[in-house]
Amino acid sequence: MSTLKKTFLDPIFKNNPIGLQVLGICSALAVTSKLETVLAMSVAVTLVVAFSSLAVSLIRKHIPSSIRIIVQMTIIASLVIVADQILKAFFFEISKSMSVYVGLIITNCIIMGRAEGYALQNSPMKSFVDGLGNGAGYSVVLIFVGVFRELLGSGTLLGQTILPLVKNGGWYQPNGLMVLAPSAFFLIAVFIWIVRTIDVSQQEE
Amino acid sequence: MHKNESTSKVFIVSFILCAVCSILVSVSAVLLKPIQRANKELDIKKNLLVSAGLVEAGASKEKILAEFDKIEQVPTETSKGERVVYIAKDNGEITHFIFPVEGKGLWSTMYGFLALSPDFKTVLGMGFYDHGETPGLGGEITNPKWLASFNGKRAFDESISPKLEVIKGQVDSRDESAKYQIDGLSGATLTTKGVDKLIKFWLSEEGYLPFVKSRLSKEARL
Repeated sequence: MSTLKKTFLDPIFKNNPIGLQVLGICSALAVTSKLETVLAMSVAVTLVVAFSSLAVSLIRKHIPSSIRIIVQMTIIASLVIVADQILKAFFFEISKSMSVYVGLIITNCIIMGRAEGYALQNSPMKSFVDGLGNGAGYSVVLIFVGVFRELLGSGTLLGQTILPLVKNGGWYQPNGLMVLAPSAFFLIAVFIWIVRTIDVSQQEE
Repeated sequence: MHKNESTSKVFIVSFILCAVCSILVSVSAVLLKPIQRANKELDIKKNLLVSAGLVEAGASKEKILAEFDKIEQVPTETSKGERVVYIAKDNGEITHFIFPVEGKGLWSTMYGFLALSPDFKTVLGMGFYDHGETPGLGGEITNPKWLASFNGKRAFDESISPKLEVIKGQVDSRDESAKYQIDGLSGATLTTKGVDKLIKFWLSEEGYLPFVKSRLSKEARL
């Protein structure tokens, strides 16, 4: 049981898919200007990565290595379409605000990275937990970025006003950079900096 | 050679995988379709009512459907084919004319509604229900604060020629044409241009101007 726990916890800080491996950056830029979409994206990616790892691991002994990438892509793409359909049916408002980015989960390198790098060699249970862990690691970074971008860029958190804006009669002049994608680069860099200062072993030569 | 690598195995695995995945995808698409369609229709109705200021943004499903049922729908010809103009009434008196509008933004086609007063002169509301513009930039066309800046603007001048426009930057309130102008969205110049173009198009001869003129002349005769 302790190895499963380690499998789950490791990707959150020690081996964070964004922090250490610097994967899945594109969606971390695209959907993080509002916390609400961050949460929806985090849940969607976590579920897709967990179930795709589970599925790949279940059939890992039967996948011919010559077509393994295509097999993984097919599984991931199918799961993402299902996730998109579910969002459209039950969380219509959120799916509207995420627009094309739900479909783009397919191209998130973390999912394929876990399928190729972990699920192909490990048991279904471990792969599933590894998927959940990596999804959680991804979510932690996204939430970190999303909180700062929404708070500093729009003065709100989850749509609730925290810092009243000057244009609405408050005192806070929003930072326009924060609503633009490049700000996520700075925030991710800060996150990586903090994590690598605490855990020196992650520093590169 | 490993037994997994034979050609027949490659075919069998890929065939079974594709079959399973396509069943999964099609079952979820078919089962969820009715719910999705209902969501979409409700969303369009809600946006129509919110654009015209007839219900609040957080209105319940029942309220939206009840309000929508009161609206009269009049088909009219435009250069883009037949469109339905929605006429809201209160005790038999017309309160709003609501026009569906659409046009290209930066990335996508934007769909929305423009609500005008019974004499067509004043804008009573504007809203978009579907677009694929950049979230946070062009996506701000759905920002209620920006949309509220349409309210009270003038759509036509005295000789019923369309004047409403979205300009780049801020409207100079001392300017005479300020009553026809709306501030552009900063950081979204191309989307703003698209909104400007779609408003001008739908208020022109190619859009709803013939409908407006025929309504006004009918009124003048009465």
